[in-house]
Amino acid sequence: MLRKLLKYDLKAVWKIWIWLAAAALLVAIPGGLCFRFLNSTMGESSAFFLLQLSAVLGVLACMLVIGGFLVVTEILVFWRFYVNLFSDEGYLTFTLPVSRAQLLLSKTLNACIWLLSSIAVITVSILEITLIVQPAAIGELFKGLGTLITMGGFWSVLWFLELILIALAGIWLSVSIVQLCITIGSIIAKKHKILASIGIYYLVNMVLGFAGQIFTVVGLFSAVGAIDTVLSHVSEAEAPFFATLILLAAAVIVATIAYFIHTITLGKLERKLNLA
Amino acid sequence: MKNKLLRITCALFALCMLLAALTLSVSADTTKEWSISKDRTSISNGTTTYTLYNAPNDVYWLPVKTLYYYDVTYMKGTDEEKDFVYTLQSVNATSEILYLEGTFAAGIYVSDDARAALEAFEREENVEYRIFRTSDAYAQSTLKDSTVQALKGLSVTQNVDVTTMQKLKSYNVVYYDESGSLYRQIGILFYFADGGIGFVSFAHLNNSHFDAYGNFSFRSGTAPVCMIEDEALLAAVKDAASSTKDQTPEESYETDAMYLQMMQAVSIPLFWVLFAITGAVLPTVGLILSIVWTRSPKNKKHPRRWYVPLGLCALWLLLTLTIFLMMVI
Repeated sequence: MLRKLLKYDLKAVWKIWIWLAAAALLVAIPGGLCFRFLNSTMGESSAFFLLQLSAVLGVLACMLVIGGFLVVTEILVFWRFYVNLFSDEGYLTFTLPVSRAQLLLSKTLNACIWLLSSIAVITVSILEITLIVQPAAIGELFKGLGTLITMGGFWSVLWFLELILIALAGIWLSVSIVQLCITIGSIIAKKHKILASIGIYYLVNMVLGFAGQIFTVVGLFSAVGAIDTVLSHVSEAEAPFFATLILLAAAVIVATIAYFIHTITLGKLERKLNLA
Repeated sequence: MKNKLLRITCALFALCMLLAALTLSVSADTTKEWSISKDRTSISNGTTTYTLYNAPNDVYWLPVKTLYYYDVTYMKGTDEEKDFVYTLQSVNATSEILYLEGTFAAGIYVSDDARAALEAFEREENVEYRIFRTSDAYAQSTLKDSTVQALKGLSVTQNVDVTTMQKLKSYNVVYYDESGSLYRQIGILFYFADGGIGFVSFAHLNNSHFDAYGNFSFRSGTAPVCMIEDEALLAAVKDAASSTKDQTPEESYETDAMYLQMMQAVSIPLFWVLFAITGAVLPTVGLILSIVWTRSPKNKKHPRRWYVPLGLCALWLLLTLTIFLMMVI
């Protein structure tokens, strides 16, 4: 049943997303050309002024489309989440022979898949622009990655996988936070549920951002001062394993927090939600 | 149950804050205030008094590897109201031999304990022999005592016109005091064009061989040179010469050292507090909540839902423990 839910969720977003992705990929080509033109005519005489102005506008438009693509994707997935569960459509959704856990999981997977896909499309667009503006840079990038892998060997592959794990857990966490905010907003407010959800999201973001900044500043300060003392017992041979543990711990921490938030959202959906 | 949970969580949070506050209360040393006597023969930082060391003219201040600057800009006790201190330096923070440069005085000031060591230095006792390129005093290497004694025991084989020696590759043979701050030169090794190496011992020279600054003069005259014939001595000298490496001192400052000390005094306990909160307190809270919610009547239908965070928190704690053990053992 989860597969069917996911299939329809993906289908619903796919119809609009594919056009946006195509636009982001296509707009990267003229954007890259405009950027290359600006690079090559930098400091030239005013004969090129109009062309340069057009090129600047072209670059700006390209950046807007690519940046806007991610924003629109997020709006699409979370709009579907809200409409499917908290609007009138929710009456139908909750009559389906599936548990609320499966419903929420389907929405979460849907959001994660589309966000990951959007990041992949944006990466390709940036690579396209780089290829047009400075083709040699791509070669240098792959050369550098190859050198890193050669230097680190097995450990660098492991670290790369762990970083992917952290990124996936991070996406899950950010999706869970938004879903929780929408859920709380829809439970608290009888009218203007969307506004309430946005307000709660901004509040949560502000608190998390503030706490995160303090933790980062304090953490960095303490780490910089303490690093010699703290790492004095870790030998050079143990260092790669130590780094692996740190990355794994980071992935576990993010995943645990994401799971807690996901489960709290589920709890609210099961016990607190009242669509009447 | 809800109130009890809330109380436990609040208590844990308060404990973390208290721990953090306790570890952050640190007192740091204040910068010492320096003073100089009116006749400028002694300086003091309030704890130790350093008296002027009348170094022989051929003793030079040249610490290598490390150089420590005291945080002093003005010394109290002089005739003029304000006397600017350019530098007050020593080879390291604990050395009792200081070198002062100021608008009012320049000289070497030593504590009573260090004075005895310097008197031994003047008698060439407890010293370390080194050589360095005449053109680069920081490119140094050590010479064995036996090599230096052998050089001193050489007889003069020829008198060489000093004007022909100026362009030759040469190494100064010196000896340093115990602290590595001061040196005195005892001779120069010259590499002659025919491949031979000759030693000019200062013990064989008189005032006419030196310029007004006390350096070996290449202006005119001849110098007695002891050519090294012994193969073993030649090899030892060549080995030392080829081993010279740059020892430009790494500079450190009292203010920086103080801030570093303060920073370490704060950052190390702070690190452990953050580590404890992130690695122990948070997963423990998560573990407790998971266990409680597994058994909660609200979750009677889906108790297994909380097994996953239970497992993740346990894994979190295990990883923290492993990382902690690697850092302390």
